[in-house]
Amino acid sequence: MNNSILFTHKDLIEKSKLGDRKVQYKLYSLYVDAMFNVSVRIVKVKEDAEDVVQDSFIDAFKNLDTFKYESTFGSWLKRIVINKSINYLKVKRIPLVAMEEYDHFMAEPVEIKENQLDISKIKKGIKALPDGYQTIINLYLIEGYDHVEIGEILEISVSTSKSQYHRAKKKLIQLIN
Amino acid sequence: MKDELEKYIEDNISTFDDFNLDEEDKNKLWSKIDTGLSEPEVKVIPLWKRTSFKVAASIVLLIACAFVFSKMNTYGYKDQMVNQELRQINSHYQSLVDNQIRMIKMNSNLNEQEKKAFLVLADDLDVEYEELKNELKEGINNQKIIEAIINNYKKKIELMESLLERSNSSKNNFDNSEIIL
Repeated sequence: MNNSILFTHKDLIEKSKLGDRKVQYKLYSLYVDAMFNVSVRIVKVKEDAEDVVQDSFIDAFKNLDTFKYESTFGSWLKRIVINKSINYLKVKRIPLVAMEEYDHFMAEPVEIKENQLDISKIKKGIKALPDGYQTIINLYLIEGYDHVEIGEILEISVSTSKSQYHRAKKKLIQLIN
Repeated sequence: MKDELEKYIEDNISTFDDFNLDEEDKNKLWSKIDTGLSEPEVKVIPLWKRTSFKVAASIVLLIACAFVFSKMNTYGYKDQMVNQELRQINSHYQSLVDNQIRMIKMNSNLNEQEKKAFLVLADDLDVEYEELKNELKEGINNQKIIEAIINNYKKKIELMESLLERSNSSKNNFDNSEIIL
């Protein structure tokens, strides 16, 4: 990754590390919308997403010393938000991965029809997916995590992540078509 | 390899951020974060992580274990000795006592009054014996108590011997008289 990207907002981050509340507020203003969207895609309830974002910023500012510019501040913060959102699903006992029964009937690959490529249809399709499939589609397609990272986040193996994603994608294509 | 759907989503990724918090929500959220950051953290001092504490704890534990084991051993050993001594005394004197009792029972020359007087004294000695046995359990001055238990047995035996002697002498007198007669 380009070093200049890694050090985005370095000045704000360093001052925030010293506990400057005004600078911390600036950082918060820059990232709050993105973080809220990340969380609400997973937890789905606005109020719950607000709680997750609140907790995440408190944790992030309290542990800012551990941030060493190995990734961008945004992806470091996003990982905190993702982890807290997943924990929320666990507390609510919402399944993190889909049950096998959903997909034994759709073994053959399904192609999406070109004219069906439409954002609103895709969004609707994702919302209609079973909970477990929604999470993996969000993490892979929208948040951009690879299967190793998803394995860590959901505490599943890389192969489970891959097979779950492929099934989820097939189901999504069916729903869109 | 990314397929068409994946590519399409990647190209339009920004459209997925369709929620926007209004300023009021953002300010409310910040004030909660501000409060959360202002709360003093409860510092937990992990005592057990300090080497000095570990060493101190180990020493205390060792001393405690040594103390408990030595106490257990001495008490256990003493108890064992006392019990063994008591067992030996009991088996020795009890057989003597049993023998005497058998002889008293078989003796037809003793009248009811004599037997009753003997039983009262024997009961007193039994009560004393039980008291001595309880004192022995407390473990204070065991040697003296064991001596007292032996004396208790001896008194019982003496008592029975004198009783039997009296009965025998009366029997003898009777026998003699019979001979005289």
